[in-house]
Order: sequence, then structure tokens, then C-alpha cells
Amino acid sequence: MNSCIGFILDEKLIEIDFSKERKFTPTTTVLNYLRDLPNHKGVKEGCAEGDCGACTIVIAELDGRNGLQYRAVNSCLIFLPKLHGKWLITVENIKNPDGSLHPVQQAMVDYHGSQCGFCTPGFIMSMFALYKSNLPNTRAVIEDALTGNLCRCTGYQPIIEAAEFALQDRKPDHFSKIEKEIIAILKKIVLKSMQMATDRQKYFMPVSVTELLYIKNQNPDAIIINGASDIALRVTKKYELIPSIIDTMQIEELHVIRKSIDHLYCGSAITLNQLMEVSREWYPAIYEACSVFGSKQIREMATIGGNLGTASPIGDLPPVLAAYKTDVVVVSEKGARIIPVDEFICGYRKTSLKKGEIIKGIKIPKPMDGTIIKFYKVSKRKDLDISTVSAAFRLTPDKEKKINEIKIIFGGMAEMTKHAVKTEKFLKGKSRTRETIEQAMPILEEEFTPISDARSSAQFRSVIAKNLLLRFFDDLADT
Amino acid sequence: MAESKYVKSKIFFEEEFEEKLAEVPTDPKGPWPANDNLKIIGKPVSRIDGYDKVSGTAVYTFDINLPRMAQARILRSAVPHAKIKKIDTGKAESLPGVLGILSSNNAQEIKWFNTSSLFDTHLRYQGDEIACVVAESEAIALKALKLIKIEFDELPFTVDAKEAMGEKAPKIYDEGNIQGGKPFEYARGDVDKAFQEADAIVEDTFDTQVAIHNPTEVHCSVVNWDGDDLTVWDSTQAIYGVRDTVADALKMPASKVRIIKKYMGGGFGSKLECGKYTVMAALLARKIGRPVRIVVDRKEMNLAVGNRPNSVQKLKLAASKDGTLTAISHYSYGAIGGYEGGAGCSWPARQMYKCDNVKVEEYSVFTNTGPTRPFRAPGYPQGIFALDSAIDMLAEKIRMNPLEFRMKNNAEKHPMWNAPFTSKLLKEAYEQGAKAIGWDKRNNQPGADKGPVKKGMGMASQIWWGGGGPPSHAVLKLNRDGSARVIAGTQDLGTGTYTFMAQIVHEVLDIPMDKIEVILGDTAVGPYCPSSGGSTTAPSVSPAVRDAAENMKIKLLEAAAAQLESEKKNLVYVNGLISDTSNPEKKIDIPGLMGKMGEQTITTTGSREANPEGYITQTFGAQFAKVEVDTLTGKIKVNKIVAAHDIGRVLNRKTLDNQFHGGIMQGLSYALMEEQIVDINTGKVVNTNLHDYKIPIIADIPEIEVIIVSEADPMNSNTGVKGCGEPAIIPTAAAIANAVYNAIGVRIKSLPMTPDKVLMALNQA
Repeated sequence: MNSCIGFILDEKLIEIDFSKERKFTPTTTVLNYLRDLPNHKGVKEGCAEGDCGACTIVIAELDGRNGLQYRAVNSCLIFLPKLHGKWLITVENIKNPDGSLHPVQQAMVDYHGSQCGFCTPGFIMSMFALYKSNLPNTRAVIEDALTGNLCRCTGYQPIIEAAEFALQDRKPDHFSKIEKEIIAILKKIVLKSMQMATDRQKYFMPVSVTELLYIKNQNPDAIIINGASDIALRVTKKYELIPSIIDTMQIEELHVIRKSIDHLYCGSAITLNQLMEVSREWYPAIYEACSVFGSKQIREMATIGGNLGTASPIGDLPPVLAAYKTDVVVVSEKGARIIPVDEFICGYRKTSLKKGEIIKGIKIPKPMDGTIIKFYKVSKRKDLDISTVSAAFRLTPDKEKKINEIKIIFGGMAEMTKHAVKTEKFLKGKSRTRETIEQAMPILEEEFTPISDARSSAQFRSVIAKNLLLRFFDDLADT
Repeated sequence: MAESKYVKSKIFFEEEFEEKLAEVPTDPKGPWPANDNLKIIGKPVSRIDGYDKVSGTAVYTFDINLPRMAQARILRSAVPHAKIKKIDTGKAESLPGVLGILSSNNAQEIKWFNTSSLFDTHLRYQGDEIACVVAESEAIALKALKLIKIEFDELPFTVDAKEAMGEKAPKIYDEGNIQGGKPFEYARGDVDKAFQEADAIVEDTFDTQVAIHNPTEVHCSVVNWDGDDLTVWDSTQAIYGVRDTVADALKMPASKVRIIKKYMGGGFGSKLECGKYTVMAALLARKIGRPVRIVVDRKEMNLAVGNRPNSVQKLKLAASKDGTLTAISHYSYGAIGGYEGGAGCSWPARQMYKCDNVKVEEYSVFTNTGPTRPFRAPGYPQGIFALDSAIDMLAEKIRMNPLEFRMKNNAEKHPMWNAPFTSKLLKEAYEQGAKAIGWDKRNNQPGADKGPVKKGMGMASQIWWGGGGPPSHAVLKLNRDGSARVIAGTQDLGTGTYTFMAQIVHEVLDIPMDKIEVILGDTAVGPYCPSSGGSTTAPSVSPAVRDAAENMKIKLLEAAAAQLESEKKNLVYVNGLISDTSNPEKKIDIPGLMGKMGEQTITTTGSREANPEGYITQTFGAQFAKVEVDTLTGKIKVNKIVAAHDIGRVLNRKTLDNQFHGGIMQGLSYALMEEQIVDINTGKVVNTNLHDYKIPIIADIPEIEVIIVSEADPMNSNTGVKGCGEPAIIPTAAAIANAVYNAIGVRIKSLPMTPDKVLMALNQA
């Protein structure tokens, strides 16, 4: 079994063989690795839990079209093996070889985007990833890319201005000049089945689902990770030693996106950022839910499988996937089965996965013309905030504009994502009048008994649930 | 040549006046002309430390890495109130890689917080220090912390100020939970009579939350002993303050302690004093004979390094029909945690408006919660939130436009001391701010908007100190090649001190900016400057730097007179060239002149002048907010803030805008989202990370327009600068609250104004 990872840093191939390495383990985070090096102290640690973005780095990888794709991610949430076959870029690498500043850096100086400067390297990296992308330099794109970077000094305005300026005219930079060489090195790093074992820990990186299922069978307690943003916190904050981990990063079958005439299929390792991009056209409510899901850095790592697997009662994704009548495809060594997403999540942080089963992907049917699906989220901050309450609605009117079919699904109102079954039943077949909705509101209130917690009170949750129903029908009136 | 003298000078720092004997120049330099007639002062100059910060080469205390450096971490109380019976460090000590452990078992008695010690066995809040471990790595130190066994008796606790004030509450100190045993009281005029005679009275209770500074760089120190010399790198706002505390604690001469701070990742007041961690690291470093780095992590930041205390404020205001504010009664209390601190918030009530009858009674209450520390204008955002909310209520009651009401009650002289101001342009701020926001278009019927999303406009006033004062000194060294080094014992928190110091030298001596090196944040080389708090750094340090630069010019002219054999009065200094007006042939540049001198560098010093006797220097302003409130979800969206302020002279338009934008965003955050939550059942903090303790993200920003109505305050100093960091945050929450009322017709009297509070208030209305 291979236990050696290879990646590029400072334009050189770095190899870490965990069977020999003593300083770093497979669950050492990239942040801790970098801060241990003498020349990468520019990568800052503000929280070490993915909330502040000060440790943002960029990972460039082969895009399958002979080019490179650059992603900004939080180095505090990534384990070293995830660098295998990739180019790790830190703030120290951004300036030009002659010491002059890269356009994103120069703009941050000129527009005064840096005050105390501690968060600046993180912002530079997020802006750099955007510079290397083909996304437009609109305010919305910039805000989205920088949502995961907290700044306590500047008030952000100068940072937005710096980004707008730097991204106006994206000329080839010094990275463009060496891309060919880098691609050549990356292509030489073989993606192969790996097992990195230390005295107390095993970290597997299989290359196929079959292999994954076999390893899982042999190591029933192993935790399967995709983005691993939750698991990383168990290691860095709770100092847990996780004895056995299976990382799906290298399994191509789980990274599949397939669009057919009537549905979209996504593998479980598809990131929420990828899901957001593919859902823009057919599934606007999924796009909306993804766009307010954490930061871009988190979205670049968090996956569909991970989000469904944790079955959080306040997860943003399950309600909206349920509104689209999504199916979850699960497999085991015995074969595959398909479970509707509202049955897949069956309790507080509980799924209906059986022993030996893993999430392979999801299948989202394309809604019929005339069906309206919307997603709402209420939280304190605009983004990067776990919802107090989220809601997804699906409505299919009939010819007389009566409610032919209605689905109402809430997150944050119960121990799990839950349909408002009685309200759905009441509304079905009725006409879409304000009166009907007002009659439905007390029914809705009655069928949930939310809790009070640090995020908000039970009473607030009840009112907001009713009001979101009202908002949905108000919004329909506009269309 | 300048000589100096000593005077007693009053300066206002954070929450109180201090009178200090200070060395000041005998030849105060005259005021500068308006910024339009200056070369670089007031212009939008990029910060000189920009390159270091964007390239990742800026080294912060957090990044200091010395050979053989060990890592220390602190064990803190997990419970809100307890007495330690026994600490067993045996297991932790035997963990491989552990180098030393300090606790009340073995540490010398070092006094702390007046009432306590470095390792107190009486634990007064969740986060109180118990022990400190130094190890080969942070991971080992953390592991060792878990192996320390503590036997303790849990004591009944109280985390709520009101409860703590009561008879039955557990006592944190034998003398009782009210700090000082009594409230702070202030009175002028006859409040009772004024209420009896009033045409209109409003009375209400307002409350504000506990807020945490959360600068991006956590608190940290690196210490290194060289024989009995101690060097400390510390992320601090007060290098001299830390030096003296460390020297006192370790009973060593201050001359043996050197504090260095080059770059720091923010402070906002939380880093104004020396932390226990610094002293612990110094003790451990001496013990193990190695450099030690100590870090306070994000969770500890949210427990143990200070907060803006909460407040409950009962206000009663009176006015006569013509709009005269006739009485203010302010009663308040707030929790200061387990150690000495301050929860006062009545300064605005006492001095914001002209009002003949004022009465204040306020309590700082000991509780089993984290300690307070000055947080960007301590007491003011909370005080103005309550006062200016009540002002709006009163204006509405007498059917007067709240802007007009404030204008009418503007104080021409300081209402507490009847003293004149060195400058006050509050009326101008009201006028220009109102014009910029479009105040005349404000909806006069609160809540009148149709539809679920309602718009509103509101305003609030700002008052703060920020005049700075002596002592504050600078040293300027001019080199043979015409480059210069300016040195001061001040610190740059990220606010732009480096840059304005270079600008001033450039302004006076025409030395190119890239040939000016600024050294600050080092007690071994920098002459004394005060700590960086109270918005006093620029108003205290900038005149000292100018004084040093002007003194350098005088020196150069004297040297040139000798070299050119000209009369000094005929010499002029233009663009770094000295020429004789009576003989155009006679001219010499700086390198040329210095080449003739025996010295390779020449040095001058400069000092801040005394504050003018009998006058008060304060900053003033007004902010205006435009909001929209979604009445279905309770969410408030701030669309625009106009900030119009009198802050004296602008030194650098870019750093000024930075300060205002940042302060306004902290104010918006204080208004809408950030809040420390303590579970009253367990006495523990619920939100100790940046995910649950919300600060704004990039998408939360409104449009912000900053208007500076002042040119300069020449009476205050030779630069005429007043501070701007704290004024920015003071009126924001109040302006937003008043705008929310204007939008929905329901007043939110509690911060932060979260969706649930708004929705519940709407439901009850």
C-alpha cells in the first residue's frame, strides 16, 4: 500500500511519506503544516475552525481540460492527504518573482483594503482565486468569494473596491507562465489507492467505490470523509484521535455530474460549490440555498454526501432537496437502493443508511413547467450563518390556479427536516387567496413545537414559520 | 533651539481625567494652514506598511519564532465560581515534552487586579486562570492541560447584574457585589422640580448586550531572557504599560524590560493592559531557560480578555413645549465580572446636550462572568443608544422634528463645567449629515409604509474626547544621504500611525516618503508616548513628530547659515533645498549640507504641547441611517449610513475613511448581531467562537458616506488633530434604532436588534 503523498509547494514537488514521517500525521491540518515551516508564516491563524478565513490558501489542480483550476479553501480544515496531486499556493507565492506586487495585492494597497493586516493574506488568497477564475467581477461574485473572510477593522468597503479594480482586467500573471511546467509535474503524481498508517491511525484513500466498500467492510468503524470540514474540527478543537478514516477524494465515480433530459445526477463527493453552479438553470431554489450556505471556502470543501450524512436539523440543503423530490442513491456491497430524501433523514442527526451502505449520489428530477419552488432562510447575518429557520416550498397550480400540489418543508423547526403535513393537506385543492393562507397559518403553528436555543426563541420560530408561508404566497402574487 | 519645560496637563483617557506632569516644548510651533495648502497632510496616502501586509511578510507577535522556543498554554476554570482545594500536576508533568508547570502550588505570589493574584485559588468566572503549562509544542501543552487534576468546591454563582445586586445573591467579595459599595452619582440643577414643571416627559428602560472585541490576531506574547534582561514581544496597545506591569510583577527594574510590538492584528481596547499570560510566560521562560511563546486561543478570547459590559438603563427625560430639554435622569447598572472594572455609560447623559437638570446613578456590579476592558469608546455606544432613543421619543411627544430638537439643545459650552470648547462643529455636522441623507424626505409617520418591507430614517449624536495631550515625544534622525528615521514609543494597531508619522516628516522637510523610516513599538528605542486608546494616538503623537521635524529644519537652517556664510533670516527651505534670498548663488541641499558636518546623523527631539488651560477638547458628530425592516421575518437591513463628524484635522484621508468605515461596521454589528450569551443555569458562555459570536461579513455592509466638517482644531495642538477611531462607532446603533422606529412605528429598546426581538415587538404592538 502506498503511504506517500506528493504535492507542489513553492514550485517544488514535496513528498510526505507517513510511514516514515514523525512530525506530521495524516490528520495534521495544512495550516499546522504551513505554520511549522519557516517561510510560510504569512498564512495566519485567526480561529482554526473555518470561521474567519485568515488561513485561506489556494489549491490548484488539473481541471481535466489540460488547464488548472484554482480554489480558495481554509487551510485549517484540510488534512494533508488532501493535497495529493495538487499545487498548494500561499500568500508568500503571490507576489511577482522580482518582488513587485501581483495586481490583487497592489489593489489592496492602493484602495487601502488592509488596516491591521492580519486578515489580509486570507483576503489576498480569495481574491487571487477569483482572479484566476473566469467569473465576472460583479459585486455579487466578489461578495460571494469574500464571504468567508472576516475583517474587524476596515468595514470591507475598501476591500470590495480593491477587488473590483483588480478583477477588471485580468492579464496573465506569473502563475500563467509556469502553468505548463506545473501541469507536467502534477500529471506525474499518480493517483492511486493509498493507505497512510501511523501507530494509532489509518487513513485510506481508495480509488473506486468497490474498494471503498471493501475497506469499510474491513473497518466498520471507519469514518468516511469527503470535504471533512466537520471532522477536522473534531481533530483540531476536541483533540480527538480518529483511528480510521476513509477519504473519498480520489474516487471518480463519486465526482460525477450528469444532466439528462429530466433529471440531474450528482455524485456524493460533488462540492456544494459545484452543485450551486450546475443548479443555476433548472433548480434556482437549490442555487439560492447553496449561495447562502457558509462561505465559498467552506462550499469548496463541503459535499452533498457530507451534508446529507450529518442529517443536521438545521441543515439548509435537505429542505430544498426535498422540495425538488430528490432521491438519494445509496450502495453497499449487496447493491444499490434509492431513498427519497425526506425518508433518508429519519431523526435527529439520523439517516436511514444501513450498515455497510454509503451515499453514492443524488438524483434531482427536473420540475414540470409551472411548478414553483422557493427557498427561504432566516438568520442574523447574511451568510456564513447557520439558519434559525429555513423553509422550502413547492407549488403546482392547476388550470384554475388552484393548489394542485403543495410541499412545505422546514429546517430548524423540529429535531429534523420536516414536512408541514397537515398544512399541506389543508391547502391542497384550495384556491390561492389570502384568506386560505391565513386559515392555514394556525394549522401550521399547531403542527410544530420548536425549541428555544441560543439562536432564537421557540415563539419566534413559530411566528417566522407562518410568516414564511405568507411570504411564499406573496412572492407568488408577484410572479 | 527648542528647550522644554514641565507643566501639569489634564488629559482625558478612556473614562476619566488624568492630570499629569509633562514635558512640553517652550516654543510651540504655530498652526498649519488648511489642508488645501499642505502638500501631503490630509491627502489619500497609501499606508507605508501596505506592502508588508499584502505580501504576507509582515511579522506579528503571533508569528515570532525564536530558536529553542517553547510553547505555553493556560488552564482555565470551566465553572463560574469555585474554590480550588488541590491541584495535582503529577500526570501532566510526566508527559514527555512537558517542560514546566506553574500554578498556585509553586508560583510566587504576584498581585493582580488589586483584589487577586496571578494564580488565585478563588475562581470567579469561567475562564479564570488556574495553571500554565510550557512544553515542546502547543499540542503537548494542550494535552498536559487535560492531565492536570483539580479538586475544587463549586460555589453558588451569579451571572446577572440585577440578581447580583440583590441581598440573596452569592457574594463574590465579602464587601458585596456592588463595586465600591455604592453607585457613581452625579447631579446638576434640580431634576425633580424640572419633571414637575415639564410639558412632556418620557420614561423607559433600555438594555444593551455584552460585546467581545475579537480582534483577528489573538492575544499573545513571546518572551526571551538574556541573562537578567527580558525582552517581550507582545500584541499590545501599550508597550510602556506592559513594560511597567511586567517589571513590577517580576520586581525588576523597568530598564531591564524591553517590550516590542511592530505589527498587531487589532485590539479595540482589549490589548490596552498587560495580560496575566505575559507574566506567566516570563516566569516559565526564566524557569526553563528558553524563549517561550504563549497564545490565548479564540475560545479564551471570548471568555477571558475583556468585554464591553452589558447595561440596563432607566432614562427619564423632560422637555418644555418649545423644545428645550429640561431634565435627564439616568439610572443604570451593568455586570463587570469577577474583577475590578467599569460598566458606566452615563457620560452621554451628562454632557451630550445642554440640559440644566441632570441626575445620574450608576452601578458597576461584580458577577461571575468575564472581565470588562475598554472597548472602542467604553460606555458611549450603549449610553448614546439609550439617550438618543429617548431623545427621539421626547421629540415625537412634543411634535418636533428630532433633528431640530437636537439642534435646539446643542451645548455651546461644556454643560458640566461651563467651559468653552477648543472647537465644536456639531451644528455643522447635523446640517451636512442631514443634507447628505436627504432628511427632508423622511417619512413623518412612523410605520406608514405599505407592504411587508418598511423603510425608515433615523439619526443620533456623537460626543467623545479625543484631544490627546502631553507627554508624548518623538525623535528624528537625519542621515547623510538625506534619508530620515523617525522614532516614537507609540504603537500602530493598524490604524495608520506609521503612515502619518512619515507624512508629517515629509510635509515639513520635503524628504521623499520612501526615504523616511518609521520606528515605533519598542521601549528600548522609542521615547515615551502614551498607550493607544481613547483616540489619542494621532492627537498626542502627531504634534510631537511635527515639533521634531520643525526643530530639524531650524537646525538645518542654522547649519546652512554657517556653511553658506549667510544670515539666517535670509535663508529659506523649499523642497529640501536651502537657499539665500539675498544671493541666489548660495544654496545647498540636505546631503550636501550634511556632507560638510562632522556628524553622520543629526538628531532632534519633539514634544506634544500642553493642552490649553480652561478649555475642553472634544470630538462631535452625527450619524444618519436609512434602513428597511422586513415585518414578516423581523430582519433589519441597513441601506445607508451618513457619518458627519468634527474630528479636527484629517491627516490622511485613506486611513481616516478606514477608521470610520470600520467603526461604523462595528456599530452596525453591535446594533444588529453581536452578543455574548451566557447560560444563566450553568453560568457558562454559550458562544465562544466566531461562528456563534457573529461579526459582520462582507455582504452585510451598507453604503457609507463619511463627511468631515472640521478643518483643524489649532487651539489644541500644532497639528490641530483630534481622534477619530472611537467617534466612528458611538452613534451608529442609536441611529439605526431610531431609523427602525421610523420604519415600523415600534421601538426596539434592546440591543442587538435581532429578527426575533423585532418580530416579537411587532407581534405585541
